[in-house]
Amino acid sequence: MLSNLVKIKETFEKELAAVKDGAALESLRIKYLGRKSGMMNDVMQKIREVPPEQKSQYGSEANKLKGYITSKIDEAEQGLGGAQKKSADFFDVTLPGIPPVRGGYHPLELTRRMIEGIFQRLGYTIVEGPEAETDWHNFEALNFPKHHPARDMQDTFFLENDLVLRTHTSPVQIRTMEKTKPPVRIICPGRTFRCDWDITHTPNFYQVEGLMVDAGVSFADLKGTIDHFCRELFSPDTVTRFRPSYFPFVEPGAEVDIRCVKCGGKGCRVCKQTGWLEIMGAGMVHVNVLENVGYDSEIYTGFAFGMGIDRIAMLKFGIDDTRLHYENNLRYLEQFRGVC
Amino acid sequence: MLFNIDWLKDYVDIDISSEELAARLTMIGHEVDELKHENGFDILDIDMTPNRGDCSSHIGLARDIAVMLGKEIKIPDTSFKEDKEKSSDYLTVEIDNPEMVHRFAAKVILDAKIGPTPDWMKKRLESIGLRSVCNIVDITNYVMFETGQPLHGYDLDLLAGKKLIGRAAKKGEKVTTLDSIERKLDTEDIVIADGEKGVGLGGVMGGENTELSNSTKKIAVEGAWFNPVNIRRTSKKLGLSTDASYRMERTLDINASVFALERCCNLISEIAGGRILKEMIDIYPNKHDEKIISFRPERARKLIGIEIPDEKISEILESLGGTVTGAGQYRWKVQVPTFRNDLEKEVDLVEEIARFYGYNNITPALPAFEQGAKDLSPGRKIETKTQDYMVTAGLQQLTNFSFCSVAQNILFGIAESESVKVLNPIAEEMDYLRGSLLPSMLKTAALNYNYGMTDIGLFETGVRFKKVQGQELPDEKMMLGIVLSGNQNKLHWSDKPRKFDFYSLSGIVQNMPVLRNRKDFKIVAAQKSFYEEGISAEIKAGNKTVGHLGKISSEAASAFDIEFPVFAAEIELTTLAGIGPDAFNFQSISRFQSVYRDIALIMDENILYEDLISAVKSLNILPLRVIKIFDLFKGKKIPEGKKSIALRLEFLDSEKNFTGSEINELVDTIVDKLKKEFSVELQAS
Repeated sequence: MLSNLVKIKETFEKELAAVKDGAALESLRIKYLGRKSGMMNDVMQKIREVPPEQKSQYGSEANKLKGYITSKIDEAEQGLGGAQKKSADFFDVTLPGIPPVRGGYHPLELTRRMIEGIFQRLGYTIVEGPEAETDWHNFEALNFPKHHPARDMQDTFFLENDLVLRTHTSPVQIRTMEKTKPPVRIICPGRTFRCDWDITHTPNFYQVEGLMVDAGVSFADLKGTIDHFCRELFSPDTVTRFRPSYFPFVEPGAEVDIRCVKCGGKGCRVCKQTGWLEIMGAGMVHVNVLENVGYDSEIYTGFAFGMGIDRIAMLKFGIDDTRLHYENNLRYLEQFRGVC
Repeated sequence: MLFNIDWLKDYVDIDISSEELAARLTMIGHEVDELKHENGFDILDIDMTPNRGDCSSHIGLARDIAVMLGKEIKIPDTSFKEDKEKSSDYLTVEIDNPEMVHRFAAKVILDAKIGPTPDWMKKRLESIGLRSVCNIVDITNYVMFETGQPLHGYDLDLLAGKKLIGRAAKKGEKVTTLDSIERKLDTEDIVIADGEKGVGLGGVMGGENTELSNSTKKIAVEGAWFNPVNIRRTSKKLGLSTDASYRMERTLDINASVFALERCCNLISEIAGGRILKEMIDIYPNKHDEKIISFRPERARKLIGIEIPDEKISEILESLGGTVTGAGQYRWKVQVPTFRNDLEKEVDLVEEIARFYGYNNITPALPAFEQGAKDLSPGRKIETKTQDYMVTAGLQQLTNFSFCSVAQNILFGIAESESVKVLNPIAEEMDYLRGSLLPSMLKTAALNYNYGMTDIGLFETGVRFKKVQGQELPDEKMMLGIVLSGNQNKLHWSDKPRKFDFYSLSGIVQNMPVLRNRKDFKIVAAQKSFYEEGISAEIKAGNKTVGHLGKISSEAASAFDIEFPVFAAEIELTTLAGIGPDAFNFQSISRFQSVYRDIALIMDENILYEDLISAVKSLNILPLRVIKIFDLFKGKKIPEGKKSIALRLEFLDSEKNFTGSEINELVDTIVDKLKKEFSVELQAS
């Protein structure tokens, strides 16, 4: 039985060599691969007559032969170029290939995942929270008293029943600490809202808030963590600068700059000639915040930081208008398909 | 906030360039937005943080500069020649509400010459954006920008009863402020009144009725400490933020009013002459305690993470105007100056030490790493997996705003009563939170279509909001939205395009990783108001509806000026995450050959494919590995009202190869079942 297969193969090869045009090739295909009366069909049917101990070998050889014949015929057809003439035809390798069907991520999603990845590798858990928030979680617990001018720092959207659209993802800190004991090591990415709309602001945008609380955490630890993050995200030679600033929920509070990624510190349009780019706010978690969630601020200290994903995306990709992120023009979005 | 460097030099010896001053101020927390050179002055524009009300004046900022440069602060001259007559002979000052008005001081000046302001003062005021009015008003303004204390001058002859009273406004009381606007007040507002009427909105703006004029002979100047909470409330309520209210709401130095009035008298005597009556009227019923903070230098070292000796710490605290007692001990007592209202706790002092030690002198460290991170939340996990799948499926991710109009919500089945309203929307049609992702996604589709990008395969994951009775927060669910239109594959020279249709959409949905392995997952026909009649379905996981899909109806499409066919789906990822995935179990694979049989069946056209397949599956024929439609045909040889469905059956056994008769038997069983259930007829091949 097996020798039969060898014979078929030899005959096929001879006949194939004799094929001159598409019509001949097509009749060859029907002869061997035709669904009803093709030779290979017959070969397959014959498996029933094969003694049981040879069945498996016969089956596999038969399949191999069928595959061989199919590919040879396909190959010959390619050679005939579909135009049904056989020659050493010119083949243009530069014609555009057929792109696989593939979509793309939004640049903000790409950026968010880069940031999440860095902190996950540092042992931070990713936590989320609601976008519509209570005044307590968004302000009060974060040491923004009701009638404090610090509330003017964030142009707030108000909802009914004393709710707000969260102005930062910091309330997720509070929600996490309210139900977890230290140590805490989290980042909270998500959508945030402020009543502002121009070339550098949109009424909603994305933030990542980070929080670490444990016994003996210091400002030096904050600096080390942020330095590491910036070098991972931008480049190993990224230089950071910490300067004092004020956010009610941290103290000492800081603003973090990196040396301009565009001009390297010489001063350009991107860094407004300062050589530095502001990338996040940070600081040691305020004792009032720790006490608001029932932590013993004598034992536990911690740091928090927060950055805008939209801003980081602008810096990473050189985008000059943040509104592009929400316009969703495909001419813009499709550019990011090659980002990995 | 603008500062004139020339002016700052009156109070501190600045021996560095303006550029260096700007750079160093930024590094101690006074971020300089811009250093301007205008009309011969160097002007700093500083982004003043709201905790540093004390720095909203030239002396205030000079104090921090002095600490930074290691210099002494120079206090301006407050001396003047006093008249024999007493201020209190001409004016009575009262505090009616000591909760609102903690301190109220005043001076009376007679026969001062109201006129133009000297050039030097005019130029300084103009350099920080102030317009000159007349010498007396300019002097009060000058002193405010010098000391931080707002002052206000009244025409004493216009004060009924020669009185100034600090009190709560009466409900409905009206005061016309200097900008000629009548302000209606309530009991939370602070009013300065004379014997009869309101003459000023305390801490915010003076009243028109007692304004200084060229004919003013007697001037009363007042400086007070008002409760910052009241000031802020009034300012917010009236939408009236002034230089005075800005400073008042950031909490003034309780001692500044007297100092500022003395400085004001010094300048009036120098510039406008007149008789400055002796003695300060100073009503101060609500005495502020001296602030003493318990402080541990060790705590500062630990929290900052630096080695800094006690001596250096106490040096910084003293240079800030603090008085340290108990140095050498574990716990110190630090008395802080009254102008530093922001210093209340130990940690406030720690920040000051870090600030003047220099954040950049702190050596970075990495915290010890003890425990690993937990996995993504089930919700975020499904979200990212779904995004990954949608990208592989060829769709482009979008990010739309969370806002929409109520009409858009209603169009997509979210009633007004369920919609979450934004009280201060940023734009029209953005006054509600979206209850569905589809309206904003359709807008995006229209936008791109109008740009000529007509092949549209889009997805978005995002939160939708719904109001739920008896629940504090609105219900938020993470949704997946899909919008398809035009060609499914981009036109290629060797290929014909295929248009997106309902089946491209349902195919994407059916193969979603979170759905395809669910045994209880089904697409069932169900009419939604925003989908075209008949081309509308719901996605079920068991008895839960987790989404819908269909062809957007032309009425719904027209709301977005869409005149092309659009297919859309929306799926609740949060709900799917809540149900959790079906357990996945590997099945062993057969080593034998599959046998295929094709059958074509003619049946009534309204028989659902889903029902056909379920009937076959109910036979529980184990070797039937796959049953799948490969052709559907109507018309021509098929009678009216009928359709032909061609099915391919794949048989495979794990133990053996089949004989032809075995297969025939199985096929017969299947066809018999379908004949019985659906009266199908086998089509002759």
